[in-house]
This record gives sequence, C-alpha cells and structure tokens, in this order.
Amino acid sequence: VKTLVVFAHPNRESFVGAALERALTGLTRRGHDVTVLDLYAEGFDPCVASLPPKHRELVHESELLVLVYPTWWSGQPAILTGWLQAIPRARVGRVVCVTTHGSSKLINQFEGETGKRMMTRALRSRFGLFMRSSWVAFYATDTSEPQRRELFLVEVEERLARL
Amino acid sequence: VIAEHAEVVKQAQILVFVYASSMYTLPARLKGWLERVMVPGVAFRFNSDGKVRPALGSVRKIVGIATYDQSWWKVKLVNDNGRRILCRALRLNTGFRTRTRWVGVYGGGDPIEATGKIARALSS
Repeated sequence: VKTLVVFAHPNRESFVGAALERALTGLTRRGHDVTVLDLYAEGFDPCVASLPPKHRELVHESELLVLVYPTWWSGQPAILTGWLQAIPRARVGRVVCVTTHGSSKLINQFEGETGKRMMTRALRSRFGLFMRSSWVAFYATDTSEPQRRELFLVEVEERLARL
Repeated sequence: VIAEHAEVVKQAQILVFVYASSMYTLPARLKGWLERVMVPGVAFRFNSDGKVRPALGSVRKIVGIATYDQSWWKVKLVNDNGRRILCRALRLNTGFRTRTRWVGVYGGGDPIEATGKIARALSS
C-alpha cells in the first residue's frame, strides 16, 4: 500500500527518531511503498493556508498515513498541527500515530488526550467518517527505564509490520 | 523575543488567549508559541525524580476567547482540543487554584455579539 510517513521532530538521533527507524523497518517488512516527509528537515512553514503542491500530491496518492511525533503540550508539535490544518480532503483510509508522551497516561487522560482526539476525530473532517485509526503511544518518557523504551521500539516495529 | 515573552508570562497574573480555531485546535502559531515560551524553567520544572512540577504559581486566571467554524455540538463531539490544552494541560502548570473562563463563538458567529460574555469572563 502506498504509505506516507510524516516525521515531526527536530532531531533524528532522538528517541522519536529511533521510533521512526523501527516504524520504517516494520512497514518495509510488510512490503508497503513508503515515502518519508521530514517536516523539520524540509523547513516546513506551519502557518500556511494550504500545503505545498508536492505535499498535496503525496497526500492524494497515499492510502496509509503514518505520523511519527513527540506529544508536546498534550498535542502534536506546532509544525505538524499546521501541516494537518492545511491538509486537503483526500482518500486516506487509515491513519497511524506513533508518539511519545512525557507524562503518564493518567495525566494525559486528565488533559483530554487532545493529540489522540485530533487523530481519531478531527481528522475525519478531511478523510471521511470511515477512516480507520491506530494509536501506538509511549507514556511517561520522563521517568522511563531503558528496557521499557526498548520494548516500545519493538512494539512499534511489530505493530507497523502487521498493518 | 522568546526570553522577553517568557519574562512577561512569569510575571502575569491573568493569561488571556484570543484565537480563531482551526481543525478544532489552536492555530499552529499559538501552539508553537506555547512550545517555545512555556519551556522548563518558565512553565514547569523537573523535580529530583524527573517528574514535572508546576512553576507558574502566580497565574490566578486563564481566559480563552475563541471562534469556531463549527457548531457547538460538533465541537463538543470532536473534543474542544484548544480549550483542553489551555484549561487543563496549561493549568496543570499554574496550579489547581487557577480559575478558567471560556468564551466560545460557534458556527462562524460574530465575536461582537459575545462582548457581554467577554466582559463577564474578564471581570469575574
């Protein structure tokens, strides 16, 4: 399946960067046709009204959209928020989020999990009511042990290989 | 500029956010402002266990004035993400004694009609 992976973290050497690598490994294992869009590396301007033609084309030809980002202030980073706000109506059938949270699941539930709602609900205004969504998330990064982080990376690879 | 803004925020007792929401959330520019200005040392700090602790204790009130393209019930159905970020995520860093007031103008309405509500939100 034609897949667009959007990465929104300034540093590829980070934990989220590692998650991106494992996600790509998983998707390739499954045989998907993957294109990666690194918003920070491209210097994407999040305050535009509509996406650049190249991004538009990529969204239109993709059936699967994978978003890999850190959760900041309980939502997507501004660069990705802006990208999603400018996204055109398209026939993307499934959206997968791979994300990390600094604080625990409990805190995020209190905050209303706005990043998750953005993906599972708000995005349906662009991709239709029957869009499928998957949530691959890591919580409490601030206090996490190396083993738990490694386990998450394995989970990312395995879950994306099953798509 | 970022440092100046951080200084203003640290001294503020009332934070008022005025924005036009898009895709049920904050405009990217305002979200980016939060990410750049509300950093460790300004909005929160890490304790010795590596947990986040609030650092904006001087803020007594958060007021939001937002316009929405969608109707009230649709915003509630999807979840008012911008309001959640400001009234819950940010409030965790100002303390539970901070009050919040919200004025929403739904369905592409005219904010002028909400003047009375805005005045009440700011004074109460």
